[in-house]
Amino acid sequence: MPVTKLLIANRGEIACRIMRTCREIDIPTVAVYSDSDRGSMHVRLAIESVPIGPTPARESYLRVDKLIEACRKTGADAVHPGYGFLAEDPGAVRKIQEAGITWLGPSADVLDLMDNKIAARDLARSVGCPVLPGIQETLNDEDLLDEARKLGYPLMVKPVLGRDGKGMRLVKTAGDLRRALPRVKGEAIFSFWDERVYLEKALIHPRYLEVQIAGDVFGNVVHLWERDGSVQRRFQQICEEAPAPGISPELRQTLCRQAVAIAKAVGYVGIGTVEFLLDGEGNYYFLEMTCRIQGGHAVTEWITGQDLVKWQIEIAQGKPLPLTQEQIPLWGHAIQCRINAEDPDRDFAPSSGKIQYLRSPQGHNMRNDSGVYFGWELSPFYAPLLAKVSTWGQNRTEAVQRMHSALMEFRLGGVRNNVAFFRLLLEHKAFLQGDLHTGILDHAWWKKRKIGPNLKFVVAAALFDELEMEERRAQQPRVNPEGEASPAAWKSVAKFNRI
Amino acid sequence: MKRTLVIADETHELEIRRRRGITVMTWDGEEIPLDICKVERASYSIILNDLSVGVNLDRIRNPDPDLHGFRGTTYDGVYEFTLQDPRKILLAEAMARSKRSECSLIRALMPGKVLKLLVAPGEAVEEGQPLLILEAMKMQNEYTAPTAARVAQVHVEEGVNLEIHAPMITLEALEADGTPKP
Repeated sequence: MPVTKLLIANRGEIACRIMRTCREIDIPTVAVYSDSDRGSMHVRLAIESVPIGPTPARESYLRVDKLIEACRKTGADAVHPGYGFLAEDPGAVRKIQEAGITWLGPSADVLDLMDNKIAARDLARSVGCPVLPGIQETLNDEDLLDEARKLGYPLMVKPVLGRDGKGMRLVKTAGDLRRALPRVKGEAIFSFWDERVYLEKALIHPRYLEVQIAGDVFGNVVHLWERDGSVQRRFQQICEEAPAPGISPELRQTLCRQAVAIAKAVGYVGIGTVEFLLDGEGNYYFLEMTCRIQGGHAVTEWITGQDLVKWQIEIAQGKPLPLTQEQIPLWGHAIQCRINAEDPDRDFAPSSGKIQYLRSPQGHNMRNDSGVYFGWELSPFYAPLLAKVSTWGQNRTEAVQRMHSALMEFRLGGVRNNVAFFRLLLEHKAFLQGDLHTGILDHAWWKKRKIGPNLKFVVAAALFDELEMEERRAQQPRVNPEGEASPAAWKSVAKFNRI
Repeated sequence: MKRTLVIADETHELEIRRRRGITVMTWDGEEIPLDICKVERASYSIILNDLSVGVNLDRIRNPDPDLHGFRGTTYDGVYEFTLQDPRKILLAEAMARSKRSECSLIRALMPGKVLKLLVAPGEAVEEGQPLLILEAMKMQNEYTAPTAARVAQVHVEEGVNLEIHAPMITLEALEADGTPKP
């Protein structure tokens, strides 16, 4: 299948990252954008760009018809979905492929299967991979509560057609479950047009590991080692590293082998991620499969030296995988922090606004996948991801130190962000010891911080700013609240000039 | 110009003056000469006692317009604090007294769309009962009643888009026996 001109059906940081690879291998790129994204970084980096509608994603980035039209207009013969938006929507894949356009991702049939979390669980079981005990049958609420009691709490309630952690809820008692059911169903209908839910036994503070896999049209499947994405808030990862710290080589091999077996069982073509949960005793359970490029792919690229977007393009072109399993190295350690416009002190509430100041980190073995620039106005309509900073080191300590240093350099003004929070995370004892689990951010331990030694300097700057503002205000001519010179002022001028 | 600084649980009385080209800061009565220079937008170099530190300064929105919120970043971390004109503190205290009256107004904390309205005017609500769901930043945010109360007024409809701080619901406090306060 041809990939000679690529349309990127996404925005922000991931669209920029895909375009960089395309530029490297001489594939022209087409950006699409919504009204509020006209000046966005991804539009400025693309060779051509096409406006596709109003700001809300449902009217622009999720409109398959407009994407196909944009392909026709520009002559693009392939679409890269990035992550989020249409990336795992089988209906979109069918429509795009019917239009004769290459889709950089797995087939619609694979997406159909993996989108249904119950089918995915059954598939994993069929290749001998353990899954968490759960309730998969569609039951009415009362029967579900009965079954839940037999299974025992705590439980996770999840939408059957869910992804990206949306709608998931942890319930600890029958009362919790009773309250959670309508909410999870409501959110599932809202996001996925389907109200089926299933229950899964919840592990207390599990680790979250994902294995990167890649498959080609010839049926070859390889893994590119695992990532640890345990540091999560709202069931979404914000910090990931590879390889997972403190994992025995045997467990690593087992997980990677299971991931390859699952991908082979569905005839996976493209790159994807098989996700596992790990309990305290070293038991692992299949969770789900993510059929797209992931936000954490940079750490895998660091430790293997590969460019996963380039792999995606070559796989879509029908070429065999560039490397065999034996040729894929594992070098050192890499870590990535997702810089979001959000406030860790206020329950990670997203922030929006204009970027008033931006100093990006630089340095040795450091990568900054950014989608913003100084002066860019952040829209509240999209995910508040600003940049992904990743570093590589010979070992975990070096990678973490390098990241800490990069974050000290990173200055971002105008929007609330989590740069300072990540610095505290990298100083957190449990994190440094590699004692990772999904509950690491449950208690806001980072809030208890002392006032630093440079308070007087900072306050002096603020005080000076206030003084200058006051002086500016004093110099401004007196105006009435409507913003026009008051008639009284005019009268006195007229009187003075004898008009 | 006087300001009251509040950071974490500390409070300091400050003053800044320009005298014959020299800027002086007074920190709880102690006079400190300041050498300060704006290096670029939102970025300052400050010399105190012959030691220079770079500060990135950001004004942050505060729901109370008299509290000027700041976030300053230096090499060692972030400082978040507020400066307030001490003259306005007296005023603010008076305002707070009047606010502590029987009505409370639920405002939108983020701009967004009202997805679902769960209460009607006149309805009694329990503490923590969901009032409405506001969709903002791709998330559904549930607003709950801070105390047991009666819904006095609903200012929004389902499906409307709201600005930040837009009033949504007015609650009326209840007496212990469940009747509205006179």
